[in-house]
Amino acid sequence: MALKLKGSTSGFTAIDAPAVAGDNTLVLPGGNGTSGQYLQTDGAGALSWQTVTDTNTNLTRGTEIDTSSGSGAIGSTAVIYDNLSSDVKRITMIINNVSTDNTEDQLRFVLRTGSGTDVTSGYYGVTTATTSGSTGAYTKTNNFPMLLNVAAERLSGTATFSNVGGNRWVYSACGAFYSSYTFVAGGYVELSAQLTGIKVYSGNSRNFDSGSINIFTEV
Amino acid sequence: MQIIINAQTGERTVVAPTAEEEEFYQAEQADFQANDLPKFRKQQRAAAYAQEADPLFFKAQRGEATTAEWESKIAEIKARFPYPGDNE
Repeated sequence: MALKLKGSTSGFTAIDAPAVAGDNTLVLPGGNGTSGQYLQTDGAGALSWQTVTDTNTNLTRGTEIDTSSGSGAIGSTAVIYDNLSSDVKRITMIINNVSTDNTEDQLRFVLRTGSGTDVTSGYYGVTTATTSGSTGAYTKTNNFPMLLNVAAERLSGTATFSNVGGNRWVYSACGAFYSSYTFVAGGYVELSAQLTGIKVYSGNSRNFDSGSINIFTEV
Repeated sequence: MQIIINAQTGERTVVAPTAEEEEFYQAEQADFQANDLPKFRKQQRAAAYAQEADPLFFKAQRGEATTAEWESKIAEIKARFPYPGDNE
């Protein structure tokens, strides 16, 4: 049986029970709530006003490493981001105008587990370089590759590492280098343990001498 | 050297590679020199041949350039994009 509240001028608003109603009591909250709030039950019939929580996770900016300002990466063969949050689901690395002190080089990434152990196998990593007239691909099993060429030219691009369940991580990257070359890279790796860090390094064992690298994480 | 950045605190530490890491880097470098670089250089040459040398070849076929000019361009492209173990 519905409880009908008659409008002062016309019509009504009804509160009704389901056909098989059981025995339930819903207790309304004391106040009117605030704009945008919703009613939430505690499972025992007590209702309360609640505020909608924004479930979007903002990017968390990590530490930028400026390879041209003498901040420590000059002369470094590798930059390592360790102690990543255990609940991180996506890592984005911004590679900005990076070069090394050699005319022949590649940037590469390895993931880390435990207290700083490089994972150096099990990768399915591919990168392609494209310019007018040619496209080439490189496959790697011991790292995720990203291209870089001559020192006079610099590499800029983005690499993302996304957790797709368990300890499986998917790599995707794109960018440009050497004036007219672009690259697209991708791959995946199944880690045997939780990810704790990521390392970007020179494939030709050369040192960073310009540009910046930044890392963002999402949980 | 390697720079380690604590993603939580931003603290930076400069450390020398471990013997295992150094061995890995050297293997990577050898792989780069033996495999990646030659592949990349071949791509660069292929693009340059198509863009710069092939037109000269067809011009030479039409008598608008000399075979020597085409061969000179081929040599110049090879010199511009050298790689270890070049035997092309």
